[in-house]
Amino acid sequence: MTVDSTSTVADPPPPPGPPAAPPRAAPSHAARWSAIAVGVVLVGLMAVFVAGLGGDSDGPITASPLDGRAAPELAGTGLDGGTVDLTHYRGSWVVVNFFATWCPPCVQEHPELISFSSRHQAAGDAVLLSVVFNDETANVASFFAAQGGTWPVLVDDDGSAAVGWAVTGVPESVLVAPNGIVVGKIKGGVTADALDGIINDLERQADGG
Amino acid sequence: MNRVLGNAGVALGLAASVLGFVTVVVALVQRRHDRIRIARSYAALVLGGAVLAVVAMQRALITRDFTLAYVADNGSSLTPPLFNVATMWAALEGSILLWVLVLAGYLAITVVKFRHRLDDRLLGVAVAVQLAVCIFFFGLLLGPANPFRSFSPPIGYDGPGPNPLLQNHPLMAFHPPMLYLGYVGFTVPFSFAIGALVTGRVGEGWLVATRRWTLIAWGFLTVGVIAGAWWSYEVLCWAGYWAWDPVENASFLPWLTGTAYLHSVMVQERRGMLRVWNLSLLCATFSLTILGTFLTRSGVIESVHAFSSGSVGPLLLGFFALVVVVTVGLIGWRGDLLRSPGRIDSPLSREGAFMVNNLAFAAFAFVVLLGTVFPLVLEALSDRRVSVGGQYFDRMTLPIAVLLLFLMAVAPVLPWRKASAETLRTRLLVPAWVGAGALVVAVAIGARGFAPLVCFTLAGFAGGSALRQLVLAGRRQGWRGLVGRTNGGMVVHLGVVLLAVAYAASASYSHDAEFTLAPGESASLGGHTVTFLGTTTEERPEKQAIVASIQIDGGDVYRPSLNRFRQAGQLIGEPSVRPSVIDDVYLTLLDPPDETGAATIRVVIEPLVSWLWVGGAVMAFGTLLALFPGQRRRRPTDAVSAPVPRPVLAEPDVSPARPEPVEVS
Amino acid sequence: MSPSTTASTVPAAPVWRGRKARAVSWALVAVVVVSVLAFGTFAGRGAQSAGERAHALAEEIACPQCAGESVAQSQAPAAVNIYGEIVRQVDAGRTDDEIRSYLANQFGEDILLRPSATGPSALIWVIPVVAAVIAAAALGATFRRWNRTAEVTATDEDKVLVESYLATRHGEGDGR
Repeated sequence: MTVDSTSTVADPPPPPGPPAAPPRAAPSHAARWSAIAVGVVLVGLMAVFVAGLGGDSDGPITASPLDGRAAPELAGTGLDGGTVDLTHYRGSWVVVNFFATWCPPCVQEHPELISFSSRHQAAGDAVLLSVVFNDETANVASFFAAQGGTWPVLVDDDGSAAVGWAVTGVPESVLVAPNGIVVGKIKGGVTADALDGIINDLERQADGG
Repeated sequence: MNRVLGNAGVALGLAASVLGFVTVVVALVQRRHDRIRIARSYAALVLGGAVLAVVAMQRALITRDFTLAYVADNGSSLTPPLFNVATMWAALEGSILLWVLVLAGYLAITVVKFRHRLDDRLLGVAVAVQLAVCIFFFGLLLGPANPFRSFSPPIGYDGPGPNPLLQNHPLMAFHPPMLYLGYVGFTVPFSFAIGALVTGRVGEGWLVATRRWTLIAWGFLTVGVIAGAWWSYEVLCWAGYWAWDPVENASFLPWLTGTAYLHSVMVQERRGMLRVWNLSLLCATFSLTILGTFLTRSGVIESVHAFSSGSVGPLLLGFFALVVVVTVGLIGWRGDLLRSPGRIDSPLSREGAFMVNNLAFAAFAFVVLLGTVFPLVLEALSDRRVSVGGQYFDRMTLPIAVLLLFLMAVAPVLPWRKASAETLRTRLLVPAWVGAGALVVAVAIGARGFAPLVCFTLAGFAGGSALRQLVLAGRRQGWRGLVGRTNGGMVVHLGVVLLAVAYAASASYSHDAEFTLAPGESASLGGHTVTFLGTTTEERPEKQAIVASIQIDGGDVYRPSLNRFRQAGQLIGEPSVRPSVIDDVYLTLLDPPDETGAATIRVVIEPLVSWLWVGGAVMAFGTLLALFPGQRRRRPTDAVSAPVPRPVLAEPDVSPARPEPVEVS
Repeated sequence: MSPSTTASTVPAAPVWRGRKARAVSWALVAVVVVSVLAFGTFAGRGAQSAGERAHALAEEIACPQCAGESVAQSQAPAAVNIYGEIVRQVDAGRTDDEIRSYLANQFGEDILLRPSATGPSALIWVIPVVAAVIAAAALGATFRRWNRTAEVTATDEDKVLVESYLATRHGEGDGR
């Protein structure tokens, strides 16, 4: 039979342990080695945290998986009922601007977009192309009627363009080089000067390299 | 005025902590142990400082004193009274203030509780450790997280109020204090663990002193975590309660290690083994509370409910580093000297089960920690960004949870030292039938799928085992069969069983759909019919609400809404839930009505979610029972299964044989 | 639920019968659990509808706008768009893996809430399993070492002593 419940362990501090246990042959260093191992792992973890605390020093351009790739397809019905197709603008810089009228920063950046568009209208070296992001066409039409702006506006009814261009929120502007390659993405509002500055920088880099 | 009072309170607390710490450390170094008693006065001053600061903050919030930057940023004249009080923990600085209050409270209780033993060296070290923790948090309050910075409000200024999500539900006033009482409560057992390591007295004496503290902290943490899940379910419109979000994980990690400790400490009491392991668990629990605070308050990890980042991040990281260096260093330095010889006779014994239990809890904590920090680690090492979502945690922890449920069924009936297969066969038969019954019932009412059915079976098995222990204990001891650590622990197990069943059912069998309905139209989902009656717009001082009226199953009308808070401007949904024992109907209004009055609503049918809250309450109740001192019923040399000596006045026990032993420890 | 209560209350003579009843009862439990579990696992396991497939996929995709939420939970516009895209691609007959890799290609790998099991992110799946195996092996080895050393055997005399003590104390003598 099993003698299963005859604990003779005493409560007071002296270690009870079975008296018959032979003294250990060599002192064990298990605690020390475990502590060293855990310590090493934790030091590594803290180094990672320190790196994480360093913070992101993002410039105006956010890195995006689209960078360096051919611009995704972007074609469809425009606000005026005509067709809008990105490929028509090959040879110019294109700022593809995703926006909505319900988004305050979009409304805020609109005058800047107007000034950017008018600066380049004559030369045709840079074009603005807006894409409606989760908004009613009627709202957008009245918004453009009231605020101005004559560049093409694409209606993206099912949101497929927004997913194709990896839009995470509005406003978001994607810069496409004259050769049809995506070169950068700007999250949040833009100014005409900032856009020109980025384009100039990129052109200079292209010339230099 | 409030600013001066508050700053004075913080300064007083900091000064008292520093002076108290220095005094105690000097007394320890000089071995003038009688001087440690002075710590009582310092502890009183620390508490006084914390209370003063909190009173000043509450006064400022109530009187809308916008000359305080904290009130100007987070307060508002439109906030209702309850949430106005809770605004103190709605943002970073105030939450540290709450932390400090709780910490000072625990310190004061420690020195009062142990006032007769304050000249004990171990206690001196423990008090010094607690004072050191106080220094750090008061320092945060005086430095980067100062809630009493000044602000000059323009005339007619009104603040934005706390985040709208924090003023939707009364649970918000309740959940953070509970969580902090748990989080901070682990400081006490941690300080005793450090005391044991420093003095080398790892005998079972300090354990007895801290066991109950750990249980109290653990109970509060349990309630805090579950209240947080409930709040998120009732307030955020996502129809879930647990998303393995970093902030949730941060509160769950110390819970896991704390739970492991509560079990393994019994092995130490019985067998004198696992001493260093137990110390390590307490140190890990405390370190994890600090790590969690760092993760959620430094902005290194993105999360829905993380506080905005500030300059507290590096300081918290530094404190975490200090804690790690001290504890790991002490364990590495002294650990091997403190280990006890001893062996466990058989894996098939209570202590064997506890060791497997600890392995499971450690693995659980490891998986949760790894999943939480992995995106950071990988980004630092390889510049790749990945996300780790709930599915990872669900998949990895499921086998561990299944193992734990199985242990919950088997371990309570295992005797100490060694069990025979025969013992198990006898004692587990009824629980096994309960498990089989649970499975049959689940399948009969339509539950399908391997993983949830295994969960239900094991939950029944574990529940049967816990009930069996309670019934036997009740038969032997009457109402006393419910109190004491073992019996209270069984009640906690029953709560865990409810949680497991609720989690498995709601994760596996929920229905979710969106409907666009014109007024008067109905839709059906998962056996329920919802009828959209229409919407109204309500104007309240702090918000404008678009309220939809939705009738469920032709009965009561529920009102999910979209709120536009005047100060914040965002449109925030507020769900409406029809709770029931079988399933909750969770309604949210997605889009305001269009011209025709048709609105889009989301309906989620979630089975057994209300069992979670019941399970949490049962766990809290069980913890209370476990805290209630069980009778000291055995002489140390008595067999574990020895009967309880009756009080002299009682009738002599006439029944010759007791069916079987019940653990009474 | 159970026809047989704890057999230890039964006096010495019918112990054998009690044991046999117990064995039968255990066999019955095993049969019930295995058969009902098998039935519950395989019966009524209908094919996933397209909507369910899309929803399951959406639960694996992070909302790019809101930390910690999946596309299935979130109502943010970007999440709604992605959900729509998933539904379109499911309807177009693309496989789950194709849809996942399309989205990861557009938005970056961190849009996948379940880290992929290839490349460096596979570590998150491998490390816990390896750690658990090592820890379990270590615990097993410890138990074995304890089992080998210091075997204390009770003599028959000891057993008789203990048994008689237990029997007089609290009637546990028959729990053999």
